[in-house]
Amino acid sequence: MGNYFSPEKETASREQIREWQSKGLVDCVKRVYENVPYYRNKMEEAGVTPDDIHGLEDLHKLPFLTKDDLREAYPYGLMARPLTDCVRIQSTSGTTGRRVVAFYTQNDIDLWEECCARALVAAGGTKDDVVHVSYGYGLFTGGPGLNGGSHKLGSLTLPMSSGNTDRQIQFMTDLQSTIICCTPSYAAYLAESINERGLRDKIHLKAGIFGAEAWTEEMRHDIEQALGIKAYDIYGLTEISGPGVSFECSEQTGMHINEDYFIAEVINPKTGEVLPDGEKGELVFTSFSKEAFPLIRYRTKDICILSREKCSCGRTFVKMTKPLGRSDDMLIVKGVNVFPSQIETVLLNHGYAANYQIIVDRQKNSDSIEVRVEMTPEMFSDELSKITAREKELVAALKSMLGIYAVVRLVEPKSIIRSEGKAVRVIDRRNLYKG
Amino acid sequence: MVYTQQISVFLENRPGTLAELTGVLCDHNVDMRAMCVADAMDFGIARIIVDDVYNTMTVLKDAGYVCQITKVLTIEMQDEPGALSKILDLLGKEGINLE
Ligand SMILES: [Zn+2]
Repeated sequence: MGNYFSPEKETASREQIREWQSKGLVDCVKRVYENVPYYRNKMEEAGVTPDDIHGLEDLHKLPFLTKDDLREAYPYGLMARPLTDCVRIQSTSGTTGRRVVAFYTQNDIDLWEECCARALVAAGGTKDDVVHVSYGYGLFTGGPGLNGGSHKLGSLTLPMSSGNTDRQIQFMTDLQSTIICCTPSYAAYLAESINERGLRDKIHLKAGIFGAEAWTEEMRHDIEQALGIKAYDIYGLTEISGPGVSFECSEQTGMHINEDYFIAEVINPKTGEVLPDGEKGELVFTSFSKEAFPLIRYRTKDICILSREKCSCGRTFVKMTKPLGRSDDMLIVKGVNVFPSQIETVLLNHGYAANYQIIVDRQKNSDSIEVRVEMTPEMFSDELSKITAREKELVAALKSMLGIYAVVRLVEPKSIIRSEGKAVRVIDRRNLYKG
Repeated sequence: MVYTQQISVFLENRPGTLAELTGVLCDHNVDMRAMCVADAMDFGIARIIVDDVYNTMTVLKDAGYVCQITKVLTIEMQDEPGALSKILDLLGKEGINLE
Protein backbone atom coordinates (compact mmCIF):
# COMPACT_ATOMS: atom_id res chain seq x y z
CA MET A 1 0.00 0.00 0.00
CA GLY A 2 1.12 3.51 -0.49
CA ASN A 3 0.11 7.11 -0.80
CA TYR A 4 -2.36 8.42 -3.30
CA PHE A 5 -3.15 11.89 -4.54
CA SER A 6 -6.85 11.06 -4.94
CA PRO A 7 -7.34 8.01 -2.69
CA GLU A 8 -11.13 7.83 -3.06
CA LYS A 9 -10.70 7.68 -6.84
CA GLU A 10 -7.54 5.64 -7.20
CA THR A 11 -8.67 2.84 -4.91
CA ALA A 12 -12.38 2.86 -5.76
CA SER A 13 -14.17 -0.44 -6.29
CA ARG A 14 -14.48 -1.74 -9.84
CA GLU A 15 -18.27 -1.31 -9.59
CA GLN A 16 -17.82 2.33 -8.60
CA ILE A 17 -15.41 2.97 -11.49
CA ARG A 18 -17.82 1.34 -13.93
CA GLU A 19 -20.61 3.54 -12.63
CA TRP A 20 -18.53 6.73 -13.11
CA GLN A 21 -17.64 5.63 -16.61
CA SER A 22 -21.20 4.68 -17.57
CA LYS A 23 -22.64 7.93 -16.35
CA GLY A 24 -19.81 9.94 -17.89
CA LEU A 25 -20.21 8.22 -21.23
CA VAL A 26 -23.96 8.79 -21.44
CA ASP A 27 -23.49 12.50 -20.62
CA CYS A 28 -20.60 12.91 -23.01
CA VAL A 29 -22.40 11.30 -25.94
CA LYS A 30 -25.39 13.58 -25.40
CA ARG A 31 -23.14 16.61 -25.20
CA VAL A 32 -21.26 15.93 -28.40
CA TYR A 33 -24.38 14.87 -30.31
CA GLU A 34 -26.03 18.17 -29.46
CA ASN A 35 -23.01 20.46 -29.82
CA VAL A 36 -20.63 18.96 -32.36
CA PRO A 37 -21.95 18.50 -35.92
CA TYR A 38 -18.94 16.36 -36.78
CA TYR A 39 -19.85 13.84 -34.09
CA ARG A 40 -23.55 13.97 -34.91
CA ASN A 41 -22.78 13.16 -38.57
CA LYS A 42 -20.50 10.31 -37.61
CA MET A 43 -23.11 8.87 -35.27
CA GLU A 44 -25.86 9.22 -37.82
CA GLU A 45 -23.72 7.43 -40.38
CA ALA A 46 -23.23 4.64 -37.87
CA GLY A 47 -26.94 4.58 -37.08
CA VAL A 48 -26.63 5.42 -33.37
CA THR A 49 -28.21 8.17 -31.32
CA PRO A 50 -27.71 9.10 -27.65
CA ASP A 51 -30.87 7.05 -26.92
CA ASP A 52 -28.93 3.89 -27.74
CA ILE A 53 -26.24 4.61 -25.17
CA HIS A 54 -27.29 3.61 -21.66
CA GLY A 55 -23.89 2.85 -20.19
CA LEU A 56 -20.47 1.34 -20.67
CA GLU A 57 -22.00 -1.80 -22.19
CA ASP A 58 -23.09 0.27 -25.21
CA LEU A 59 -19.69 1.81 -25.88
CA HIS A 60 -19.00 -0.65 -28.70
CA LYS A 61 -21.94 0.75 -30.69
CA LEU A 62 -20.17 4.08 -31.15
CA PRO A 63 -17.94 4.72 -34.17
CA PHE A 64 -14.19 5.03 -33.76
CA LEU A 65 -12.39 8.33 -34.13
CA THR A 66 -8.96 8.44 -35.80
CA LYS A 67 -6.21 10.94 -36.37
CA ASP A 68 -7.68 11.46 -39.85
CA ASP A 69 -10.89 12.72 -38.23
CA LEU A 70 -8.85 15.15 -36.15
CA ARG A 71 -7.12 16.40 -39.29
CA GLU A 72 -10.38 16.71 -41.16
CA ALA A 73 -12.02 18.60 -38.33
CA TYR A 74 -8.97 20.87 -37.81
CA PRO A 75 -8.93 23.26 -36.08
CA TYR A 76 -12.36 23.76 -34.41
CA GLY A 77 -14.48 20.91 -35.79
CA LEU A 78 -14.45 18.69 -32.70
CA MET A 79 -14.91 21.36 -30.06
CA ALA A 80 -17.76 20.74 -27.67
CA ARG A 81 -17.54 24.15 -25.97
CA PRO A 82 -17.28 27.67 -27.41
CA LEU A 83 -13.76 29.03 -27.81
CA THR A 84 -14.46 31.67 -25.20
CA ASP A 85 -14.70 28.94 -22.54
CA CYS A 86 -11.23 27.67 -23.43
CA VAL A 87 -8.07 28.78 -21.67
CA ARG A 88 -5.31 26.76 -23.36
CA ILE A 89 -4.14 25.13 -26.55
CA GLN A 90 -1.55 22.36 -26.79
CA SER A 91 -0.39 20.63 -29.92
CA THR A 92 1.35 17.51 -31.14
CA SER A 93 4.69 17.66 -32.91
CA GLY A 94 2.94 16.32 -36.01
CA THR A 95 5.70 14.94 -38.19
CA THR A 96 3.24 13.94 -40.91
CA GLY A 97 0.39 16.03 -42.22
CA ARG A 98 -1.35 18.69 -40.23
CA ARG A 99 -0.71 18.95 -36.52
CA VAL A 100 -3.31 18.03 -33.98
CA VAL A 101 -4.48 20.92 -31.84
CA ALA A 102 -6.24 20.25 -28.52
CA PHE A 103 -8.32 22.78 -26.58
CA TYR A 104 -8.72 22.94 -22.81
CA THR A 105 -11.14 24.65 -20.46
CA GLN A 106 -9.88 25.40 -16.95
CA ASN A 107 -11.55 22.17 -15.77
CA ASP A 108 -9.76 20.24 -18.50
CA ILE A 109 -6.44 21.68 -17.33
CA ASP A 110 -7.28 20.83 -13.70
CA LEU A 111 -8.15 17.26 -14.62
CA TRP A 112 -4.93 16.84 -16.59
CA GLU A 113 -2.79 18.34 -13.84
CA GLU A 114 -4.49 16.13 -11.28
CA CYS A 115 -3.49 13.10 -13.36
CA CYS A 116 0.12 14.32 -13.32
CA ALA A 117 -0.04 14.92 -9.57
CA ARG A 118 -1.19 11.31 -9.13
CA ALA A 119 1.82 10.17 -11.18
CA LEU A 120 4.15 12.20 -8.95
CA VAL A 121 2.65 10.76 -5.77
CA ALA A 122 2.86 7.23 -7.21
CA ALA A 123 6.57 7.90 -7.73
CA GLY A 124 6.92 8.80 -4.06
CA GLY A 125 6.38 12.54 -4.45
CA THR A 126 5.08 14.80 -1.66
CA LYS A 127 4.75 18.54 -1.14
CA ASP A 128 8.25 18.51 0.34
CA ASP A 129 9.82 17.45 -2.93
CA VAL A 130 11.71 19.59 -5.40
CA VAL A 131 10.40 18.65 -8.82
CA HIS A 132 12.81 19.30 -11.66
CA VAL A 133 10.91 19.43 -14.95
CA SER A 134 13.23 19.03 -17.93
CA TYR A 135 10.55 18.28 -20.48
CA GLY A 136 10.12 20.94 -23.13
CA TYR A 137 7.65 23.73 -22.33
CA GLY A 138 5.43 25.14 -25.02
CA LEU A 139 2.94 23.50 -27.33
CA PHE A 140 4.36 20.14 -26.28
CA THR A 141 2.41 18.79 -23.29
CA GLY A 142 5.39 17.32 -21.38
CA GLY A 143 6.59 20.44 -19.54
CA PRO A 144 3.20 22.07 -18.82
CA GLY A 145 1.69 18.77 -17.66
CA LEU A 146 4.25 17.79 -15.06
CA ASN A 147 4.70 21.44 -14.07
CA GLY A 148 0.97 21.66 -13.30
CA GLY A 149 0.97 18.32 -11.50
CA SER A 150 3.80 19.44 -9.29
CA HIS A 151 1.92 22.68 -8.45
CA LYS A 152 -1.21 20.71 -7.56
CA LEU A 153 0.84 18.57 -5.23
CA GLY A 154 2.40 21.66 -3.66
CA SER A 155 5.95 20.65 -4.46
CA LEU A 156 8.61 23.21 -5.29
CA THR A 157 8.67 23.21 -9.06
CA LEU A 158 11.73 23.93 -11.19
CA PRO A 159 10.50 24.73 -14.71
CA MET A 160 13.85 23.94 -16.33
CA SER A 161 12.59 22.94 -19.78
CA SER A 162 14.94 20.93 -21.97
CA GLY A 163 18.56 21.55 -22.96
CA ASN A 164 21.50 23.37 -21.35
CA THR A 165 22.73 20.36 -19.45
CA ASP A 166 25.30 22.33 -17.41
CA ARG A 167 22.60 24.57 -16.00
CA GLN A 168 20.34 21.57 -15.37
CA ILE A 169 23.07 19.92 -13.29
CA GLN A 170 23.90 23.12 -11.46
CA PHE A 171 20.28 23.67 -10.40
CA MET A 172 19.97 20.01 -9.54
CA THR A 173 22.91 20.18 -7.15
CA ASP A 174 22.36 23.72 -5.78
CA LEU A 175 18.60 23.43 -5.26
CA GLN A 176 18.62 19.74 -4.38
CA SER A 177 16.07 18.48 -6.87
CA THR A 178 14.52 15.24 -5.66
CA ILE A 179 12.33 14.22 -8.60
CA ILE A 180 13.34 14.62 -12.23
CA CYS A 181 10.80 14.60 -15.08
CA CYS A 182 12.11 14.27 -18.66
CA THR A 183 12.40 11.88 -21.56
CA PRO A 184 14.23 8.63 -20.76
CA SER A 185 16.92 9.38 -23.33
CA TYR A 186 17.60 12.77 -21.74
CA ALA A 187 17.70 11.08 -18.32
CA ALA A 188 20.34 8.68 -19.60
CA TYR A 189 22.32 11.59 -21.00
CA LEU A 190 22.01 13.59 -17.78
CA ALA A 191 23.14 10.56 -15.77
CA GLU A 192 26.20 10.20 -17.94
CA SER A 193 27.03 13.90 -17.68
CA ILE A 194 26.61 13.89 -13.88
CA ASN A 195 28.87 10.89 -13.49
CA GLU A 196 31.47 12.32 -15.88
CA ARG A 197 31.65 15.45 -13.75
CA GLY A 198 31.98 13.32 -10.64
CA LEU A 199 28.85 14.93 -9.14
CA ARG A 200 26.95 11.76 -8.30
CA ASP A 201 27.36 12.48 -4.54
CA LYS A 202 26.10 16.03 -4.95
CA ILE A 203 22.68 15.16 -6.36
CA HIS A 204 19.66 14.40 -4.20
CA LEU A 205 17.37 12.73 -6.71
CA LYS A 206 15.23 9.86 -5.47
CA ALA A 207 12.91 9.30 -8.42
CA GLY A 208 12.41 10.08 -12.07
CA ILE A 209 9.27 10.19 -14.21
CA PHE A 210 10.17 9.43 -17.79
CA GLY A 211 7.88 9.40 -20.79
CA ALA A 212 7.08 10.74 -24.25
CA GLU A 213 9.21 8.11 -25.97
CA ALA A 214 9.74 4.36 -26.03
CA TRP A 215 12.24 2.93 -23.54
CA THR A 216 13.17 -0.49 -22.30
CA GLU A 217 13.60 -2.29 -18.98
CA GLU A 218 17.33 -2.29 -19.69
CA MET A 219 17.33 1.51 -19.98
CA ARG A 220 15.35 1.71 -16.75
CA HIS A 221 17.94 -0.39 -14.99
CA ASP A 222 20.83 1.67 -16.36
CA ILE A 223 19.26 5.00 -15.38
CA GLU A 224 18.34 3.73 -11.92
CA GLN A 225 21.89 2.50 -11.34
CA ALA A 226 23.59 5.59 -12.74
CA LEU A 227 21.53 8.08 -10.71
CA GLY A 228 20.62 5.95 -7.69
CA ILE A 229 16.90 6.56 -8.23
CA LYS A 230 13.69 4.70 -9.02
CA ALA A 231 12.59 5.33 -12.61
CA TYR A 232 8.87 5.45 -13.41
CA ASP A 233 7.12 5.40 -16.74
CA ILE A 234 4.32 7.79 -17.68
CA TYR A 235 2.05 7.67 -20.73
CA GLY A 236 -0.19 10.13 -22.44
CA LEU A 237 -1.11 11.83 -25.65
CA THR A 238 -2.10 15.39 -26.43
CA GLU A 239 -5.37 14.31 -28.02
CA ILE A 240 -6.54 12.84 -24.72
CA SER A 241 -4.90 15.45 -22.42
CA GLY A 242 -1.15 14.94 -22.23
CA PRO A 243 1.19 12.99 -19.94
CA GLY A 244 -0.58 11.30 -17.04
CA VAL A 245 -3.30 9.45 -18.94
CA SER A 246 -1.59 6.54 -17.21
CA PHE A 247 1.34 6.29 -14.82
CA GLU A 248 3.47 3.71 -13.08
CA CYS A 249 3.27 2.85 -9.38
CA SER A 250 5.80 1.36 -6.97
CA GLU A 251 5.30 -2.07 -8.55
CA GLN A 252 6.75 -0.80 -11.88
CA THR A 253 4.87 -3.46 -13.84
CA GLY A 254 2.63 -1.33 -16.03
CA MET A 255 0.82 1.99 -15.94
CA HIS A 256 -2.49 2.61 -14.13
CA ILE A 257 -4.94 4.39 -16.42
CA ASN A 258 -6.89 7.22 -14.75
CA GLU A 259 -10.21 5.46 -15.29
CA ASP A 260 -12.31 8.05 -13.51
CA TYR A 261 -11.57 10.32 -16.51
CA PHE A 262 -10.72 7.97 -19.37
CA ILE A 263 -12.24 4.74 -20.65
CA ALA A 264 -9.67 2.39 -22.16
CA GLU A 265 -10.40 -0.41 -24.63
CA VAL A 266 -8.10 -2.69 -26.58
CA ILE A 267 -9.27 -3.65 -30.05
CA ASN A 268 -8.16 -5.81 -32.93
CA PRO A 269 -6.74 -3.12 -35.23
CA LYS A 270 -7.86 -4.97 -38.36
CA THR A 271 -11.47 -5.72 -37.41
CA GLY A 272 -12.24 -3.19 -34.69
CA GLU A 273 -13.47 -6.00 -32.43
CA VAL A 274 -13.03 -5.30 -28.69
CA LEU A 275 -10.55 -7.73 -27.12
CA PRO A 276 -10.65 -9.13 -23.59
CA ASP A 277 -8.07 -8.08 -20.98
CA GLY A 278 -4.73 -9.81 -21.45
CA GLU A 279 -4.88 -9.70 -25.23
CA LYS A 280 -2.60 -7.55 -27.32
CA GLY A 281 -4.26 -4.93 -29.50
CA GLU A 282 -4.70 -1.25 -30.26
CA LEU A 283 -5.44 1.04 -27.35
CA VAL A 284 -8.59 3.15 -27.68
CA PHE A 285 -9.54 6.00 -25.34
CA THR A 286 -12.76 7.82 -24.56
CA SER A 287 -12.05 11.03 -22.64
CA PHE A 288 -15.60 11.47 -21.39
CA SER A 289 -14.75 14.04 -18.70
CA LYS A 290 -13.17 16.54 -21.03
CA GLU A 291 -15.28 19.65 -21.66
CA ALA A 292 -13.70 21.37 -24.64
CA PHE A 293 -12.29 18.48 -26.61
CA PRO A 294 -13.82 15.16 -25.56
CA LEU A 295 -12.80 12.29 -27.83
CA ILE A 296 -14.96 9.20 -28.17
CA ARG A 297 -13.27 5.90 -29.00
CA TYR A 298 -10.09 7.56 -30.21
CA ARG A 299 -7.69 5.05 -31.77
CA THR A 300 -4.19 5.71 -30.43
CA LYS A 301 -2.42 3.30 -32.84
CA ASP A 302 -0.42 2.18 -29.80
CA ILE A 303 -0.40 -1.56 -29.28
CA CYS A 304 -0.60 -2.72 -25.68
CA ILE A 305 -2.18 -5.15 -23.24
CA LEU A 306 -4.58 -4.26 -20.41
CA SER A 307 -4.56 -6.04 -17.08
CA ARG A 308 -7.01 -5.77 -14.17
CA GLU A 309 -5.03 -8.03 -11.86
CA LYS A 310 -4.82 -6.75 -8.31
CA CYS A 311 -1.88 -4.40 -7.86
CA SER A 312 0.20 -4.38 -4.69
CA CYS A 313 0.03 -0.56 -4.59
CA GLY A 314 -3.70 -0.77 -3.81
CA ARG A 315 -4.84 1.13 -6.89
CA THR A 316 -7.81 -0.42 -8.66
CA PHE A 317 -7.35 1.35 -12.00
CA VAL A 318 -6.63 -0.95 -14.94
CA LYS A 319 -2.97 -1.25 -15.93
CA MET A 320 -1.55 -1.02 -19.45
CA THR A 321 1.78 -2.29 -20.66
CA LYS A 322 4.23 0.07 -22.30
CA PRO A 323 3.26 0.48 -25.94
CA LEU A 324 4.58 -2.66 -27.65
CA GLY A 325 4.38 -1.26 -31.14
CA ARG A 326 2.21 0.67 -33.54
CA SER A 327 -0.83 -0.67 -35.31
CA ASP A 328 -0.35 1.39 -38.47
CA ASP A 329 2.00 -1.05 -40.06
CA MET A 330 1.05 -4.37 -38.51
CA LEU A 331 1.96 -7.55 -40.38
CA ILE A 332 0.55 -10.97 -39.72
CA VAL A 333 3.24 -13.61 -40.12
CA LYS A 334 2.47 -17.25 -39.33
CA GLY A 335 -0.69 -16.00 -37.68
CA VAL A 336 1.27 -13.78 -35.30
CA ASN A 337 0.93 -9.98 -35.23
CA VAL A 338 4.27 -8.40 -35.99
CA PHE A 339 4.94 -4.68 -35.75
CA PRO A 340 8.00 -3.23 -37.48
CA SER A 341 8.44 -0.95 -34.47
CA GLN A 342 8.94 -4.03 -32.26
CA ILE A 343 11.77 -5.11 -34.52
CA GLU A 344 13.18 -1.60 -34.45
CA THR A 345 13.17 -1.64 -30.64
CA VAL A 346 15.10 -4.90 -30.56
CA LEU A 347 17.66 -3.58 -33.04
CA LEU A 348 18.21 -0.37 -31.08
CA ASN A 349 18.52 -2.33 -27.82
CA HIS A 350 21.25 -4.42 -29.36
CA GLY A 351 23.29 -1.51 -30.65
CA TYR A 352 22.29 -1.71 -34.29
CA ALA A 353 21.12 1.29 -36.26
CA ALA A 354 17.43 1.59 -37.07
CA ASN A 355 18.31 0.95 -40.71
CA TYR A 356 16.50 -2.26 -41.40
CA GLN A 357 14.18 -3.91 -43.83
CA ILE A 358 11.68 -6.64 -43.22
CA ILE A 359 11.03 -9.12 -45.98
CA VAL A 360 8.01 -11.36 -45.59
CA ASP A 361 7.54 -14.22 -47.99
CA ARG A 362 5.40 -17.31 -48.32
CA GLN A 363 6.77 -20.51 -49.76
CA LYS A 364 4.76 -23.74 -49.82
CA ASN A 365 2.08 -22.12 -47.65
CA SER A 366 4.57 -21.29 -44.94
CA ASP A 367 5.40 -17.70 -44.01
CA SER A 368 8.95 -16.58 -43.46
CA ILE A 369 10.33 -13.31 -42.17
CA GLU A 370 13.78 -11.96 -42.82
CA VAL A 371 15.22 -8.90 -41.13
CA ARG A 372 17.97 -7.15 -43.04
CA VAL A 373 20.18 -4.99 -40.87
CA GLU A 374 22.85 -2.62 -42.07
CA MET A 375 26.26 -3.20 -40.54
CA THR A 376 27.59 -0.26 -38.54
CA PRO A 377 31.16 0.57 -37.47
CA GLU A 378 30.11 -0.02 -33.84
CA MET A 379 28.85 -3.53 -34.48
CA PHE A 380 31.69 -4.56 -36.76
CA SER A 381 34.58 -6.63 -35.54
CA ASP A 382 37.59 -8.19 -37.16
CA GLU A 383 36.53 -11.48 -35.60
CA LEU A 384 33.87 -13.48 -37.40
CA SER A 385 32.95 -15.25 -34.19
CA LYS A 386 32.09 -11.94 -32.48
CA ILE A 387 29.84 -10.87 -35.33
CA THR A 388 28.07 -14.21 -35.51
CA ALA A 389 27.63 -14.27 -31.73
CA ARG A 390 25.99 -10.81 -31.89
CA GLU A 391 23.86 -12.04 -34.77
CA LYS A 392 22.70 -15.02 -32.71
CA GLU A 393 21.83 -12.78 -29.77
CA LEU A 394 19.76 -10.65 -32.11
CA VAL A 395 17.91 -13.69 -33.48
CA ALA A 396 17.14 -14.83 -29.93
CA ALA A 397 15.93 -11.36 -28.90
CA LEU A 398 13.70 -11.13 -31.97
CA LYS A 399 12.29 -14.56 -31.20
CA SER A 400 11.41 -13.52 -27.67
CA MET A 401 9.89 -10.20 -28.82
CA LEU A 402 7.91 -11.51 -31.79
CA GLY A 403 7.20 -15.07 -30.73
CA ILE A 404 8.36 -16.36 -34.09
CA TYR A 405 11.71 -17.08 -35.66
CA ALA A 406 13.10 -14.40 -37.95
CA VAL A 407 16.15 -14.80 -40.16
CA VAL A 408 18.70 -12.03 -39.63
CA ARG A 409 20.79 -10.92 -42.56
CA LEU A 410 23.61 -8.44 -42.07
CA VAL A 411 24.03 -6.23 -45.10
CA GLU A 412 26.46 -3.53 -46.16
CA PRO A 413 25.80 0.07 -45.10
CA LYS A 414 23.40 2.04 -47.29
CA SER A 415 22.39 -1.10 -49.16
CA ILE A 416 18.78 -0.94 -48.01
CA ILE A 417 16.62 0.52 -50.74
CA ARG A 418 15.51 4.05 -50.10
CA SER A 419 12.67 5.67 -51.93
CA GLU A 420 12.69 9.45 -51.82
CA GLY A 421 15.27 9.33 -49.06
CA LYS A 422 13.16 7.14 -46.76
CA ALA A 423 14.02 3.49 -46.36
CA VAL A 424 11.36 1.04 -47.47
CA ARG A 425 10.79 -0.82 -44.22
CA VAL A 426 8.58 -3.68 -45.25
CA ILE A 427 8.52 -5.76 -48.38
CA ASP A 428 5.65 -8.22 -48.31
CA ARG A 429 6.05 -10.64 -51.18
CA ARG A 430 2.91 -12.58 -50.29
CA ASN A 431 0.53 -10.14 -52.03
CA LEU A 432 -2.14 -10.96 -49.48
CA TYR A 433 -4.27 -7.93 -50.14
CA LYS A 434 -4.25 -7.95 -53.91
CA GLY A 435 -6.67 -9.62 -56.30
CA MET B 1 58.79 -10.14 -34.75
CA VAL B 2 56.99 -7.17 -36.26
CA TYR B 3 53.48 -5.80 -35.77
CA THR B 4 51.75 -4.45 -38.82
CA GLN B 5 48.33 -2.95 -39.47
CA GLN B 6 45.65 -4.85 -41.29
CA ILE B 7 42.34 -3.50 -42.56
CA SER B 8 39.22 -5.61 -42.08
CA VAL B 9 36.24 -4.85 -44.31
CA PHE B 10 32.67 -6.08 -43.92
CA LEU B 11 31.34 -7.71 -47.09
CA GLU B 12 28.05 -9.34 -47.92
CA ASN B 13 28.31 -12.86 -49.19
CA ARG B 14 26.92 -12.42 -52.68
CA PRO B 15 28.48 -12.57 -56.13
CA GLY B 16 30.65 -9.60 -57.02
CA THR B 17 31.22 -8.01 -53.61
CA LEU B 18 34.90 -8.86 -53.51
CA ALA B 19 35.38 -7.62 -57.06
CA GLU B 20 33.64 -4.36 -56.11
CA LEU B 21 36.04 -3.92 -53.20
CA THR B 22 39.17 -4.59 -55.25
CA GLY B 23 37.71 -2.31 -57.95
CA VAL B 24 37.43 0.57 -55.48
CA LEU B 25 41.01 0.03 -54.31
CA CYS B 26 42.28 -0.19 -57.85
CA ASP B 27 40.46 3.04 -58.83
CA HIS B 28 42.36 4.81 -56.07
CA ASN B 29 45.70 3.23 -56.91
CA VAL B 30 45.86 1.30 -53.67
CA ASP B 31 48.39 -1.48 -53.95
CA MET B 32 47.50 -4.52 -51.88
CA ARG B 33 50.31 -6.49 -50.27
CA ALA B 34 48.13 -9.33 -49.06
CA MET B 35 44.49 -10.27 -48.78
CA CYS B 36 42.44 -13.04 -47.27
CA VAL B 37 38.71 -13.54 -46.73
CA ALA B 38 36.95 -15.17 -43.83
CA ASP B 39 33.30 -15.88 -44.34
CA ALA B 40 30.22 -16.96 -42.44
CA MET B 41 26.88 -17.91 -44.04
CA ASP B 42 25.77 -14.59 -45.43
CA PHE B 43 28.67 -12.24 -44.84
CA GLY B 44 32.43 -12.19 -44.80
CA ILE B 45 35.41 -10.16 -43.66
CA ALA B 46 38.06 -9.22 -46.18
CA ARG B 47 41.41 -8.63 -44.51
CA ILE B 48 43.91 -6.65 -46.47
CA ILE B 49 47.41 -5.32 -45.94
CA VAL B 50 48.41 -2.17 -47.78
CA ASP B 51 51.21 0.38 -47.61
CA ASP B 52 49.20 3.45 -46.67
CA VAL B 53 46.68 2.23 -44.11
CA TYR B 54 45.08 5.58 -43.30
CA ASN B 55 44.67 6.66 -46.90
CA THR B 56 43.08 3.30 -47.71
CA MET B 57 40.72 3.58 -44.73
CA THR B 58 39.55 6.95 -46.04
CA VAL B 59 39.02 5.53 -49.53
CA LEU B 60 36.98 2.63 -48.13
CA LYS B 61 34.88 4.75 -45.78
CA ASP B 62 34.12 7.21 -48.57
CA ALA B 63 32.96 4.27 -50.67
CA GLY B 64 30.55 3.34 -47.87
CA TYR B 65 32.33 0.32 -46.41
CA VAL B 66 32.40 -0.55 -42.73
CA CYS B 67 36.01 -1.28 -41.90
CA GLN B 68 38.51 -1.16 -39.07
CA ILE B 69 42.22 -1.41 -38.42
CA THR B 70 43.56 -4.37 -36.50
CA LYS B 71 47.09 -4.91 -35.29
CA VAL B 72 48.54 -8.18 -36.59
CA LEU B 73 51.73 -9.97 -35.89
CA THR B 74 53.98 -10.81 -38.81
CA ILE B 75 56.41 -13.64 -38.47
CA GLU B 76 59.13 -14.43 -40.93
CA MET B 77 59.54 -18.13 -41.55
CA GLN B 78 61.75 -20.47 -43.45
CA ASP B 79 60.42 -21.76 -46.74
CA GLU B 80 60.73 -25.41 -45.79
CA PRO B 81 58.38 -28.23 -44.79
CA GLY B 82 57.21 -28.04 -41.19
CA ALA B 83 58.06 -24.36 -40.67
CA LEU B 84 54.39 -23.34 -40.25
CA SER B 85 53.49 -26.21 -37.98
CA LYS B 86 56.44 -25.32 -35.73
CA ILE B 87 54.93 -21.88 -35.17
CA LEU B 88 51.38 -23.20 -34.83
CA ASP B 89 52.53 -25.75 -32.26
CA LEU B 90 54.08 -22.98 -30.19
CA LEU B 91 50.92 -20.87 -30.33
CA GLY B 92 48.73 -23.88 -29.59
CA LYS B 93 50.74 -24.76 -26.50
CA GLU B 94 50.21 -21.27 -25.16
CA GLY B 95 46.49 -21.51 -25.88
CA ILE B 96 46.53 -18.72 -28.48
CA ASN B 97 43.76 -18.91 -31.04
CA LEU B 98 44.48 -17.95 -34.63
CA GLU B 99 41.70 -15.92 -36.31
ZN1 LIG C 1 -0.09 -0.28 -8.81
